[in-house]
Formats: sequence, C-alpha cells, structure tokens
Amino acid sequence: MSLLLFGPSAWLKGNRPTIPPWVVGVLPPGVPATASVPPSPKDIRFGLVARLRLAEVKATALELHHDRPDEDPADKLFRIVHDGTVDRFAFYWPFGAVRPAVDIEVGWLLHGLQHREVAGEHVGIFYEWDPEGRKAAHERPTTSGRAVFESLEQERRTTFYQSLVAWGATPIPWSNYEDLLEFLEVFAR
Amino acid sequence: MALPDKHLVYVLGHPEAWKLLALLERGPSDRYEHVRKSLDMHPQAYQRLLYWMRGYGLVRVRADRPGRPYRGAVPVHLEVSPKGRAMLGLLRGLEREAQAHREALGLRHAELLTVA
Repeated sequence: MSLLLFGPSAWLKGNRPTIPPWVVGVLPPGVPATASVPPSPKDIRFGLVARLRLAEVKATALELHHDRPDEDPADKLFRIVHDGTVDRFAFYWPFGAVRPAVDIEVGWLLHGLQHREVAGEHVGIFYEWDPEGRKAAHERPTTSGRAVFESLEQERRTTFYQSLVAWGATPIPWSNYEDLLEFLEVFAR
Repeated sequence: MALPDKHLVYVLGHPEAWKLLALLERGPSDRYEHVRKSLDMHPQAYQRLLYWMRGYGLVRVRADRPGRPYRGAVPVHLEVSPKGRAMLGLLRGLEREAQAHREALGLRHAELLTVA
C-alpha cells in the first residue's frame, strides 16, 4: 500500500515562491535550486516523496517510475495505479502553478470516483492556504451561512479540483511545507 | 515521523480540540460559525484548530452529497473522521481513568468532553 503524489510540474511565469531549505536538501542531484531559481513543483514533489520515504512511508510519483518502451504516458498512469500497491492518492496544489497535465490525472481519478473504483476518503487534495499569504482555495460561508469549498485560482484550470471534492475527495489545507509533509504522512498511514 | 511529533500533542492539549470531536460526533455541520460559537472560540483560534484537526485527519471536510454535480463552489460540511472517532474513544477512556483518580483523591471534576 502506498501513496501516489500527483501535482503540477512548473510555476507560472514570474511566480517565485519561497521554498524551505530542507526541501532543496533532499532534491535529486543536479537539480538547480538557488535563491534566484526556486525548485519546480515537480522537484518539490520529489522532495516530499523522498522525505516521506525517509519516514518509512511508502510514497511515489509518476515521474519516479521508468517509462517502458511499449507504453505511452496514459498506459504508464494506468499501470502504476493498477499494480495493486497504490491505495492513497494525494494532490499537491500550491498556488500559482502550471497544471494542464494534472488535469489528466484529475480526470482519471474522477472516473474512478464516479465508478466507485476509488473511495473518496482515499483521495486528498492538499491545497495551499496561508491565512496571511497565498491561497489556492478556501471554504467560505454563503449568505445563508452554509460552507462551500471554492478554488481561488479562477481561470487556471482548477475547476475539476472542485469536482473532485464534489465527488467525495477530502480537501486539506496547508500553509507551509513542514505542515504539508506532516499532513501527507498522516494521510498516507 | 518525518518531523518531530509535537503539534498533535500540542493541539490535543487544548480542551477545545476534545470538545470539537465530541460536538461533531453528534452529527456533521455545514455551518462553521455555529460550531465556533458552540466552542466559544475566537475566530482565528478556531481557524487554527480546524487547520490542525483536519491536517491530522481527526475531522474532515466532505461534500454534502458526494456524487451530485455542481458548477462552481461545492457545498461542504465538517464531520468527525473514523480516526477522530477512534481518538475520541481514547480520550473518553483517559477521562474515565482520570476521573476515577480524581474521585479517589477527592478533587473536583473537569469534564473536558462535555459540550453544551
């Protein structure tokens, strides 16, 4: 049983978030990460997976698996998800990332949720939510006082994240990478 | 643990955390403000409590009616998770044990899991 961590691979142009040193410290060799060039969301996902593995949590990301010569990216996704070991799906949703490719993974999970092949409790959407800073999504009260979950990244291809919640996924906020790592560990265990 | 295990202990050190679990055990709530007022908490303290309790999987936010299609914002509610129910069971056990000791010592009761 393990956690599959989905998420974006690049930041939007001009977006330079602050990444803590420990994330940089566990990145694969050769990843350029300096004060002027922050690691990409893909590098951060790799860093999170590495830290989770250090804590003996089984975690992986699609890009960490080798491509086979006879398969395309969709086949690869299908193979990894169906190899019998993945039972938790987590979406890393930082504010201000490029995410078209994530739509494919979101779409696959929506299909799984709609056909009851995946339980909503096993899908976590970890969205950035800093009360004094960047917020990718939030919950707010309507005029009647009832709570609604809403993306704050309008027109950035996040509509289907809301659909994931509507189909039973669990949204979990994080405001810094230390908390995100800890919450991912709790979710994976 | 990937990081030092300090926050969960810290969070559960607050009686509001126990009461939140006991309150949501009665049923989910789609009005966060009602829950806050029941706990008699400052809005920011309540926000932080929910943040930690959700992060540790003790309470969770779910769609009101999973599977129903929505356009735009999705109606959600707060509920206690299975992990939260298990924690509540542990806390009740602790409470019983502590009360037995308090009674033996002739001390006053402090009922942390009683909600109005």
